[in-house]
Amino acid sequence: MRAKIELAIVLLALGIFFSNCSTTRFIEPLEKDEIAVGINAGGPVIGLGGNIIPIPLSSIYVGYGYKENLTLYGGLHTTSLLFNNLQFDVGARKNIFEGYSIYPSMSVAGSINGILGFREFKPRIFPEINVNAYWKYGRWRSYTGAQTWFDFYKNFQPTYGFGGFFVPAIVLGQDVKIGDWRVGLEYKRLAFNVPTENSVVNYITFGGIGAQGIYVSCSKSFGYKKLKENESN
Amino acid sequence: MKVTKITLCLLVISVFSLTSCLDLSGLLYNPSTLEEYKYDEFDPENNIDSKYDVLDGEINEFTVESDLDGDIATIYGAYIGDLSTIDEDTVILYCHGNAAHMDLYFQRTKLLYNANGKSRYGILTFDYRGFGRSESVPTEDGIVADTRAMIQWLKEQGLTGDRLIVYGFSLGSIAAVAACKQDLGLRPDKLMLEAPIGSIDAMAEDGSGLSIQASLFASLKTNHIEDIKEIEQPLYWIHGESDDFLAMLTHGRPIFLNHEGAFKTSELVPTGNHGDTPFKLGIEEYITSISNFILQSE
Repeated sequence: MRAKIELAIVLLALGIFFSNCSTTRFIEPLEKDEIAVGINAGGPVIGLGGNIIPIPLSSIYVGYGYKENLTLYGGLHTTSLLFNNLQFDVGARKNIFEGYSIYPSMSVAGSINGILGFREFKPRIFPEINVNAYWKYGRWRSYTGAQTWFDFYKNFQPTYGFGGFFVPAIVLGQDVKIGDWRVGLEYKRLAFNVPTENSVVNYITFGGIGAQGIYVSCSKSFGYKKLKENESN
Repeated sequence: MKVTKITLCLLVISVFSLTSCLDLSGLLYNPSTLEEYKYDEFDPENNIDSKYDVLDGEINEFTVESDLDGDIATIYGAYIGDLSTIDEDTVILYCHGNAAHMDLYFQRTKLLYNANGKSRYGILTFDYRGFGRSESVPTEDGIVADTRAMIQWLKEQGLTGDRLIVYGFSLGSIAAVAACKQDLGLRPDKLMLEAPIGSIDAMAEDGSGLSIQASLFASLKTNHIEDIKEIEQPLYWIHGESDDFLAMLTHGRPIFLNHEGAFKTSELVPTGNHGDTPFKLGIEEYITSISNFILQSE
């Protein structure tokens, strides 16, 4: 019977579309007037029918270097779109510390995650903050960070689910710049304040707490080079 | 400017062309089909002790036609008991869980058959559309339609509502709660729920850790946490505290707390998981527990 029930959890596994469903947006601010467009895929890792898979979430995103040390960005969640939902995120990032020697640079970001389902008008907004530390060496960049979503609805409506006001995650990532392209891999330790041992979704985790996510991303920068050329002329 | 407008238009068109209506509702159901029902011969190694066996001649298979907005399906059921005395017996309508077919639940059916003595109550078990030999495909509304067809059959055999008890396990809570909340032909006298679905939204919240609604990815509408407020019949609730599919705290407990009827009782089983709670409680203890509820809620 248990094996049969496992199929049903696909339905619920997809319920986590909406939390931690993308890579960290722009680890460091873009240059002024630089534009970058990217895609990412991946999600929390679950056990399903004897297999271990990351939930195939995806999004496209764009960032713009609005000012020196201030990047504005937005993302559209394409997997969610296939299920008749408009899910997006918009935010801004800036550096708060320039690294030197072994000390990493640090950046912060604030963003809004919005979800509007077309089956039922019940929009949801989840604010998010994010702090990253990153090290650059040649074309490579390593980073770690902490982030949390805020679930204000926990206080405003009857709720029976697990979880609380904070939905935090710790991030480890690595990316590489190849010409105008940047390719990255990211690991997230998700919702480590939430017991998931008895969760309907069979999260692959440890200690019966939270979940783990694996994500890949790819982005391309343009505009910045042209800007540099114009400046040099 | 023109390029910007064109780009914007293309973006909008792209967004809405990607927007489709994928719906995962169908994945909620896990039926299996078969050619014939085997009852105790289905999985003999896992049969309970033979002292609980059904008396000879008391497994009566039958079919009814169930009409769901014109989708008429042949639904298979089995009446465990004496057909000739339905007009005076108390009957438990057993609504099984979300897997396979009624053969898989036959051992559980036998536990109810032994409540307050062997064959004290007639048991009607059936397969929802798409499960076992029943035709068509499962849906929430289909489960309710098939339950209505079964209640109608019982009514035709002479059963009255004051002698009808409905028992819903997991997915079967959709049928059992509907039988008490809606007019399906007879008004059941008692409601028994084992590891029930609280609501589809509670499942989504459990899965995500966020306050999101299930309508974001499925068109299911089950909400027993709210429905139970309209049900006055005595309520029996059994749930495993280790249930990792429909958690006791987020599904069964809110239902139990929201029930405002005059009589309710609960049986929590610390080591019980979703599919094994009666057995973790112990067969005799489980039979005693349900027997007591039926007698005490008279």
